[in-house]
Amino acid sequence: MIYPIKILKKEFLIYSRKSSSFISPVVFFLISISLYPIGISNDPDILKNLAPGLIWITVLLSTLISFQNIFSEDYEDGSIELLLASGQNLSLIVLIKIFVNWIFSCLPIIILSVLSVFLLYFPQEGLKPLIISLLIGTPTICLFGALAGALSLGKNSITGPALMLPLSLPVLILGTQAINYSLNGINFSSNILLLTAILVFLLPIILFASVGALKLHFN
Amino acid sequence: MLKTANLSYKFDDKYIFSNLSFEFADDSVFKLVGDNGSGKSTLLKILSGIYKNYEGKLSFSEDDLVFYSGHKTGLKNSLSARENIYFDIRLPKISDSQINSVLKQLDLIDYSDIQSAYLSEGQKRKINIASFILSKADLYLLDEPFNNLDRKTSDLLQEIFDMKINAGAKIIFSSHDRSSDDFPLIDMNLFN
Repeated sequence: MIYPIKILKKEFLIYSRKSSSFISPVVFFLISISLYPIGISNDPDILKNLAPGLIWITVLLSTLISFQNIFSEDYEDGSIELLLASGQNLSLIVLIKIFVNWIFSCLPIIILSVLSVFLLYFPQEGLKPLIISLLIGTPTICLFGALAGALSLGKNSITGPALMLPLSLPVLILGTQAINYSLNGINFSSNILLLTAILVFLLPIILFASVGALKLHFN
Repeated sequence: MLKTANLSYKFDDKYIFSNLSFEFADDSVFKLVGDNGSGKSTLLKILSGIYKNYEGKLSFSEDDLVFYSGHKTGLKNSLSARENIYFDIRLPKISDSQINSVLKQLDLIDYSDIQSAYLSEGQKRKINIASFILSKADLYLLDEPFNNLDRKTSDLLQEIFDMKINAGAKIIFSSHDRSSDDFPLIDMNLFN
């Protein structure tokens, strides 16, 4: 078996056995979405207007729970040392780890965001831009999370979010704006294209930076 | 094959070791000895490519496959012994029968499908030894491989050493034990 597939299978197995890795973000998302009608207002018009921002902010905060795990276990158990010694392509391994993290921590939330139609009176016509913006925007957030996770290894738990949240703001703004544009009958494709451009542009840069950050802990 | 010249490593402006020169050509095994903190583990990490910011020269054959085993085992607690061996990045493609054979050899077969989180430290070391046995590397860098092992496993590891050496591999390992074998020593205390 060639090693990327081997690592992909290994990561899937590890995540599937660590239920907290995907249950915690989902539970956080569901609790938050359920509390907004109680805490803010049960007026459908108010919730409907706030829903795009609330959903995106909740998704962003939910991902904070999981991204610290991307490298922390590997760092503590010595796996990163073995990877560095093996001479394998570390960028590819980091990419696989980010991809699996996205599958387990973001994809369930994206699917569950459909519930906002019922809980936040979110208009059904806004579902398409919501799902598309989340599908394209959350991988970028995972990339930022991986970089923050790599930089903050062995440091206190606030360092990672403090690094990740400011970086994620453009994605948050573009994602929320895309939904609002769609609900107001404005073409939202430019926002989706910008989100895609950010993802494509940042992917190699953040992979490179994350590998550098991981190596930094061993020098 | 492997040569160092005036190799030094400093951490926080303090040299862990300095001016270490040796050539690993004719001998098959080198044993690193020295007090705690003398730089045995650090040297193995430099030789394996984990630490890059050393001073001096280090040259080795780039075609050689290197197998490194440190203090941390790299085992995943959520995976079983069998899965940890199967997914070990240091190993080539291995079959179930090869894994079973090694697990039997190490008396781990009854625990092979239990998650590693529930195994003792000694059993976890044995999983690492299983990877060592299955590896087909040219150079083995092992950090205190005899630690936490019972007598039987220790003797088995010694046999595996001989087997690997006879197959043409070379081994550098660290130990606190200066006695009881004929391996050439590198005393790290001399370079502090």
